[in-house]
Amino acid sequence: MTEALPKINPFLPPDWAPMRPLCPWKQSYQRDYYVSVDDTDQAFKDFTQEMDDPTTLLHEGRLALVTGDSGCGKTALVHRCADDVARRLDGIGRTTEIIDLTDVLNGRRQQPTIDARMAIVCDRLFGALKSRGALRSDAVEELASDRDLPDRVYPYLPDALVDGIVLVVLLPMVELADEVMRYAAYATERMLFLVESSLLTKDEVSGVIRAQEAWGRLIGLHVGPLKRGDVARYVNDRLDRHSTDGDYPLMSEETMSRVEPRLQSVAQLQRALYGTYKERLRKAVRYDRSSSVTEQDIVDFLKSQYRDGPGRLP
Amino acid sequence: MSTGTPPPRPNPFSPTAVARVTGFEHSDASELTIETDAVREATSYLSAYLHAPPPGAGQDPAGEVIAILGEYGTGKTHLAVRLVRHARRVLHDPERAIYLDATADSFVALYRRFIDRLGLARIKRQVENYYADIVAEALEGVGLTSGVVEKPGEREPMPHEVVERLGLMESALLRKVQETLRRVTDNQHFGTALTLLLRSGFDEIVWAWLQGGEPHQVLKERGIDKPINNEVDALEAMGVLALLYGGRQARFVLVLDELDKIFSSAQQPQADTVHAFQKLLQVFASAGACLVLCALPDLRSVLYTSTRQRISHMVDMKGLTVDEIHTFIKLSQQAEFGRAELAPFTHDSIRYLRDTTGGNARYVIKLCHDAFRVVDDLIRNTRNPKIVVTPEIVREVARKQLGFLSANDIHNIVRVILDANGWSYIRDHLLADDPESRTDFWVTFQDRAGGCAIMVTGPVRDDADMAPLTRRIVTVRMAEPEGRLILIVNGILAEEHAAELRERLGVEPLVYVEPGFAEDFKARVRATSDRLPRIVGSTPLTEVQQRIDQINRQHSKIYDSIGHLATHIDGVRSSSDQRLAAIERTLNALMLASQGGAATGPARLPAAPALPREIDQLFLDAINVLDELTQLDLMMDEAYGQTDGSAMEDVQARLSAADFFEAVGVAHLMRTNVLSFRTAVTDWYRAEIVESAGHPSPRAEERLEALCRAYDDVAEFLPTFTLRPLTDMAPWTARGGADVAELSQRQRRIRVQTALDNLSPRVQRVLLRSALASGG
Repeated sequence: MTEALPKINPFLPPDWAPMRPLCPWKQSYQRDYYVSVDDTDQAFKDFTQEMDDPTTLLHEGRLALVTGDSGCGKTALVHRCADDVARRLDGIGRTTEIIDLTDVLNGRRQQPTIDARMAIVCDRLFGALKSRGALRSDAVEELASDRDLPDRVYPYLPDALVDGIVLVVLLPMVELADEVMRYAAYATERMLFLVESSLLTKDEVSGVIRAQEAWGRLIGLHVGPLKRGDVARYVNDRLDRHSTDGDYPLMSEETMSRVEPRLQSVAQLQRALYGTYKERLRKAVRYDRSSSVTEQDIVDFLKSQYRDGPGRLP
Repeated sequence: MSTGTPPPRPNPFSPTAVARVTGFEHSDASELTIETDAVREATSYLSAYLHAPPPGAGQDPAGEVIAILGEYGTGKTHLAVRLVRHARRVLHDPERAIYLDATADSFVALYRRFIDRLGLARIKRQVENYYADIVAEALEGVGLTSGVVEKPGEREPMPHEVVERLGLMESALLRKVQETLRRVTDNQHFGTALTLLLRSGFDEIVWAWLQGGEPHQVLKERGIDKPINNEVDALEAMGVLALLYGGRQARFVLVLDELDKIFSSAQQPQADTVHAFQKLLQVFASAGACLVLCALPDLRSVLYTSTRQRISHMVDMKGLTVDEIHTFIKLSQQAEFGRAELAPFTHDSIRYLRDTTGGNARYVIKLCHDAFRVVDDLIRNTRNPKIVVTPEIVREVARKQLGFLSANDIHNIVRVILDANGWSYIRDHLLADDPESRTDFWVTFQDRAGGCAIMVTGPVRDDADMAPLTRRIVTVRMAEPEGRLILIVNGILAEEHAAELRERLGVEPLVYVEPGFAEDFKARVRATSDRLPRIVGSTPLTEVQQRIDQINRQHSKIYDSIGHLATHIDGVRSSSDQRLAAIERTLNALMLASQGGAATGPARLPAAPALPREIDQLFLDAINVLDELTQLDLMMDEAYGQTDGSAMEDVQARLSAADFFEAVGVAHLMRTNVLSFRTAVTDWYRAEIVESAGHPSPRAEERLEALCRAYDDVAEFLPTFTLRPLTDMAPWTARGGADVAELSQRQRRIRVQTALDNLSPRVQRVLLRSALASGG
């Protein structure tokens, strides 16, 4: 008789929060956690093709703009791209500094203007580079008083960075084409800006791409809603991946195809499935491979979320 | 101390007869309304709109534009307020029926009041409703429909909560809201700005722009690059808000009162404003919203035909009939005393009342109020309960209340103007043997044939007034075919008769209205003389001679005036030293008072309280007018300050003038009443607005209403016409210049009326408006 496996939630990555986007440059095990849903695989391929030779960053900067609606996996894709570049540069002996500034504008009472936003980002970037020792000491001294002036800091950065360092900056979410264009103009050698947007329209994105064509600095990536078969691919990946780690109910192909029309994005799918399994586990009824999570379980969970809010999610 | 006279009965009629337009949102108590044809008609149009079934798929919702047209005082505002209440009752939602009165002469100002009245919270709620619709659609996709909440007492979650709880694609939903709002409002800027209200950090910026401010840089970055600060943009913005409210197949009623302040024949708006206004009407109709416009009858002629055609219904406010006044009196007395009785009014007095006022609702109510008070005083003083309101009493109160002058007054005014301009005239001149050919003045011009007949008549309200007047006009015309005729109407001129007289005379009759009568009259006489045929044989020399005669006549009058003026100036000069001394004493007293020194007598005006300037100005105007009228402090100061006795003589002359004491006493009581009202209002403002830092509560509004009522109850016994001896008398500082004083006498009367009449509703209105604006 084999030892009973622990009851686990197959939709919770180890040492990770359930709704936190994957971040392989922080958790390397997550490099193979990406499932081909939401066009993310295609977008990632597009990125690696564009950055076929990451050493080009040494003499020309790039900006990758990831667009797509909320919950479609933009942040996870940004992290994957950052990790990919860093790994490949590392492979040829270069040091990559990944600076995550995605949350520096959160929680403000009033929305700042583009100038103010860029000033805040610039200031925080300077602070992060300084504290990591990525700037030459003479450059720190020279730039310190202008640290929130993008026009002063960004053009000077390639010279200010310690030799051998390539900078990957994860910018806060943008919603205006102007802001993207301005960052694209600042993306000079040894710099890769990664920025996401859920509010830019298709026309605006096309406009930005067209405007940047001549410079060749901009990489446009797009992720979309779930497509047919995405739910099954995602569920099967997670249920198979943890089959030796613990015990949990399975899900029939029929259930997967029935819930597919209810769920539009990978974030919504992750939220619904993680929550449903958690609920099953909490109720302590039939939580093993001989049992199944049904469409009704998922719908019940969604209803409870609608009624009671997210309090039940950790 | 009791005098043994029974106390006065409460007056069932409003002394101001001004419809209440603030605070009615919270009040269930409806003002008394007489179901006139116009009231029934307007209410039925609105009801049909409110109860219309929702349009079928693909059909446009049916909106309405209703115009309520009538002269001042015919009850437009009263009806407007009633319509708003009606709509709110039917729609079960006070947010869906809004009353707005134009307080300035522009649509920009009106729009700003509209947006302030709606408030940010309401607009956000409306935008959230659109978001909720879109989230509900998304929920259907998830397999959840609204109504999942099963536990009784639990509320449906807000749309952003649902999005967050279920992880819906917020960006896609917001984009849909923006597209919907752009489509619904047909305005890119509003679609963008309103959608931003669904996100955190944009409220203040968007609200400032909606209120007419320059767009913040954050908005400019999003394509909103101009403020709403011209007539066309303001009208478009109003339409957008109507679409916002009406766009969800919902009913929305906006009542725009006093539109004549913006649109009138006297103030013709620019063509692009008229076009934008036309578009507003179109937008309301296509949004399925209802726009009610209240204005003077000349709105018809101001608007283009194409704009008029956008108005679905026009309702004309007519004068109250005798039967309607009957009903009004009975209902008013029932509301006050519990008995629907006519006494002390009689059928005769009501008929007379109707004839005098032409049924103008405001005049009817004011005269009922005054007549009731007069008769109640008589009943109390004589203890004879059988005394009734007679036509004579109505005539007397009308004379005092409505400011109509006596025939003698009008004759005097006309005479003064003719004299001052050097025109020669004969008074009470018969142009033929027929007594009907009598003209009040026959003015001739030496180089012109014929002359100009000036006829003064009383009110022209109906056919009974018209018939004798027409006979006189025809007779005068026949007697002097080459002559011209100027008709002066002292009182009401019914519109239909105005048109008839205009046709008959070829020119509008002159209605005696102050201010401006003298100028109008002079211009009319000059124009008339120009149209008279020149006398054949008139040579340049005779013309010069005639002109010199005219100038001589003018000069003799001017010398009289200069004589009076010179006396006055001498008086001023001789007393200037004493005046200076008096001013120094006054300044010293003020400085002492400001330094906390001992009081040197009664405080002239308490320190300004913490009222907003606009409101305090109403009180200060009233107090200043009364002070200017009496100038008692100055008079007494000068009596003690001058040693030659000249001031004392003038003081004694004043003190011995007829009715001076009574008028001064009334003025003093009025002043005290205004000051007490001001103090009470200040306390109210401090407690209900400043300290509670928000909109006044319904209870606070009731308290304010009670304060206003208390002021009115006292003011009722202090009518402004009792100040007449003071307004007729030259002010103390202008004594000695009789002609100068004569010219400003009527202006003083008007000043008194402007500052004191309807003080409490004006204070209440401005106060609540200011509180609502400052409360955000």
